[in-house]
Amino acid sequence: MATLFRSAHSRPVWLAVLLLAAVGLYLADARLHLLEGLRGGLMTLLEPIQRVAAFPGQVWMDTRDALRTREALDLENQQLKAEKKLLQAQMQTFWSVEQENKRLRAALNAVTPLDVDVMLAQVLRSAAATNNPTILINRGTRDGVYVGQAALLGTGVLGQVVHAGTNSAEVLPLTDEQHAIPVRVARSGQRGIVRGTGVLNEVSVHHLPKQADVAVGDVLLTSGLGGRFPEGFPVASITHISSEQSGAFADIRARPMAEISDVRDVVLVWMREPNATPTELPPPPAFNKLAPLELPPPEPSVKSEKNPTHAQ
Amino acid sequence: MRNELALGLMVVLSLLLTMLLELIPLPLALNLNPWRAPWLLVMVMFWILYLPTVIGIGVAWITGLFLDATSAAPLGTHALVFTVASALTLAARRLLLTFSVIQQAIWIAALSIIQHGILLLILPSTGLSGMLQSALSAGLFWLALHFVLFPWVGPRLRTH
Repeated sequence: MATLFRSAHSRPVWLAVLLLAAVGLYLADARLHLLEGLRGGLMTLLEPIQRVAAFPGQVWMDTRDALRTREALDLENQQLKAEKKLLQAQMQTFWSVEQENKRLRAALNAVTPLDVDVMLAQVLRSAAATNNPTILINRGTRDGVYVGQAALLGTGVLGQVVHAGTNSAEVLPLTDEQHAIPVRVARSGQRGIVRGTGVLNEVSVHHLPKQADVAVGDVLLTSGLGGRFPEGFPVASITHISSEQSGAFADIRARPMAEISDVRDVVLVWMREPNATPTELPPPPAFNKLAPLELPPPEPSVKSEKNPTHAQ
Repeated sequence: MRNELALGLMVVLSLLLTMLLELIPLPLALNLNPWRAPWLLVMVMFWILYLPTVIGIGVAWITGLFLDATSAAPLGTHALVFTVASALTLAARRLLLTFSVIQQAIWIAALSIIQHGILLLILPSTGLSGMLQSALSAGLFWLALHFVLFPWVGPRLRTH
């Protein structure tokens, strides 16, 4: 079996071609961001291996679940039931407030906020399990996942999709150094940017002046600016403020609301223009049979939602 | 012919298995990630050293590209690393074949450090931590590979 370019003369040429090709790929991907399609294709080819690699971890989780005692399950069940009752009670007030809000906005001719569609995805590889800081999930372009899409957890914002294959996608957690989200302080409405620090339980808050109305414990919500993240989801809570830093801005640290080190399910979000006009409001949801969280993939028009580059 | 088919199959299978090693998540609590060897690099170097007629720089490049798609690095990073490492190994091949296994393992550990260095240049967040651990486990992995595969591959060895 002979390889190509075996002669002694052509080997340096072949080597130079490959080196140039690698550098070219690097420049096209890292600087020009042209190769998302190629990466998606390679990810799709590698999906079977990724599934096999995720298998031992899933078996481990399943056995751990199966080995829990009946008492522990009963206790958890009771807690969940109590929690559900509480949430249902809150949901009733939420529904009436939401309708009132819509009517008031319509009366004022104000812009209605975007509606949100969601889908659950399972985590195949969590953030720090390999040298790759992203989270691998089992949904891809086939389910309508797109690069730049927002991903949430039950407790808060998780991050955004950075690469998407056919049946898998990689989510960059908001704690990564390359990730930033525009936020506002829930209490005072001050706007800033939350950036990752590379540590799984800390983020830094930028562009908040030293005189800004912020305090330790304040919750930061997504501001919806930039259009990548839906507005009003909790991102982090402030843990530390210091004005020692020179310059106009304070050095603020916060703790993400989402527990990023132990993620098993991720909620993917699609934003779409609200289509229900105030005159034809939907009936209140039936609380004893809540609709399943997993919705069918949204229409193609939703996927082509523009993603301004603000959030990256 | 059948022999060569088996050979190719063997190489592909081994590359797939090492790719699996690269991708398998480790339990966070044990903090084993610094000890992850560059499995795929070591495997490719093994074939480059012992079967340079089957696996050349081109295959190393493609393998690196696939590894890129699974890593946080931009496409082309591991392709570049694998090409440089293969070129170095090919250039030093005759010398390496006269080496003992331990000396070869030291060579592999050095290549592992080169890979870490290039990744560090491109992705500063990689950090220096784990460079020595991964080099050590790369050397150990080389010893294991040698132990398992050399009896099979040794008779085919031709120095040319």
